[in-house]
Amino acid sequence: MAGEKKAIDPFEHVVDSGHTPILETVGLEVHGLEVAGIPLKFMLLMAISATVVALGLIWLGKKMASGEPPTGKLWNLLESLLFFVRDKIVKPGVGEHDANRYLPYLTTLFLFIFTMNLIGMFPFLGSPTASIMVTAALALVSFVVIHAAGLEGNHGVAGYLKTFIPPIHIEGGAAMQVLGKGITVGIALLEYATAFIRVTVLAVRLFANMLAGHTVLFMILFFIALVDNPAYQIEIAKGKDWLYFLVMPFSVLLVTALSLLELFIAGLQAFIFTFLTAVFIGLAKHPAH
Amino acid sequence: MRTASHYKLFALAALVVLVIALPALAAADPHAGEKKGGLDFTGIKRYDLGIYTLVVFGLLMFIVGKFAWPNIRAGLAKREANIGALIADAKRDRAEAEAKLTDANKQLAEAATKAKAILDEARKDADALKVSEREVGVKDAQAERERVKRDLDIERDAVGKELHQQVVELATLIASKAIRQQMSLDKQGSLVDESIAELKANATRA
Repeated sequence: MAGEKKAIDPFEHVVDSGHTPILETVGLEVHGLEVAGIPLKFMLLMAISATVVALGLIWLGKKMASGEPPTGKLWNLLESLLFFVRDKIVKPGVGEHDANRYLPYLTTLFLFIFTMNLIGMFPFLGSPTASIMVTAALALVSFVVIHAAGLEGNHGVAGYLKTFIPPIHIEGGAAMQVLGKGITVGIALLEYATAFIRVTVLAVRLFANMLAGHTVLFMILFFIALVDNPAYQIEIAKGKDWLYFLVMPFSVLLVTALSLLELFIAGLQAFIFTFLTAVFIGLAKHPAH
Repeated sequence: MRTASHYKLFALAALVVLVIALPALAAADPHAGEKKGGLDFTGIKRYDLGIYTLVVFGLLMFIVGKFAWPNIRAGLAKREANIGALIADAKRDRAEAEAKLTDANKQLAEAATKAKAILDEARKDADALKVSEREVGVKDAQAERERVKRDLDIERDAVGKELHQQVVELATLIASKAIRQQMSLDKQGSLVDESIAELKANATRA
């Protein structure tokens, strides 16, 4: 309806949706990207990310099978990523001995998250990691891998559950012993809770960073609409056309700078998620005594 | 090789099918038709997306585990073996080079010693030759000097004899002429000149 002011939804362009506006003002937009009311955008982007990672790793494997040193930019780039994950994430987190065993999972996880984060940097697309259910599913996989490693490294369920109980030695009478037992049980319960909290935090950290980053980028760019687009124009901007020329360069420059920062964050968050998973695997497999 | 290609094609096809099929499966989501609001922006009710993520990631792990990691592991093992072999070769080459260097240094030292000995020998020979040459030269010079002296003596004796003979002849000539005529001093002078001229003429003829 012409002249009617639209409500501002800062997450509209960031969250999963069946509607992808490209240049709405000239009618360039994608509608109906959904099945039975379920948006497909994030699913498609995730499938694209998975395909890119799969093809990249298969190609790399084919190249590396010869045992020859890498040649060419792509081969060197993919090998650099592989060795970065191995030397900077897996070995420090899991330990030298088990590094090769967890390298495929952690490398695939890193590349999958990194690709999903990067794909959100393309205008009008979005990052599937800006959905809590996506990051929660990945954290759930990490949870299973972490505790499977713990069960394997500590001789079964009983042995593994014992590693959560802190070795507290208290000297003194019966009261002190009871107090000691109470503290031990309390800390053990906290440790058990930590096992779940850790992966929850993994999921929330990645999701929140990606959602917030893209929302900030959208809002800064949306300043232009707030002063120029009649559908969103704020009261103080009415009749002040010159504000557009002030706000537009400011918004564009700031978004460009923040996009560079967001590129860095895309890699950083993938690194943090994978590195913490590796550290938790290492801790579960070789708990401190 | 052909089977591996079929697997890859199958894996890619499975991904595509998954993309299409899962939303349909998730359409049964009881929250799908509810009004949006609250924490909906987080996608907290998108269980379909969570399940989809698990399936896609599981499929991805399966595909790369089947088609990528065996090759990557084999390649890394080969590369490790190659690097090990190269390191062993490099160590062996280095040991050989060091042995050759030691030999070369030894040969160089021997050659230097030999060269010094040859130089000393040559210097000694040169000194000896110089001395003998000097002695021969001195002897030759002495002999030449004596020969020249001898020749000079012979020549002097011959000249002396000839002069003596000429003086005698001149005296005899003057005396014979003086006996034959009384002469004035001027006449005697002219006689002497005449005699000398004769003597010269005789010498020329001789």
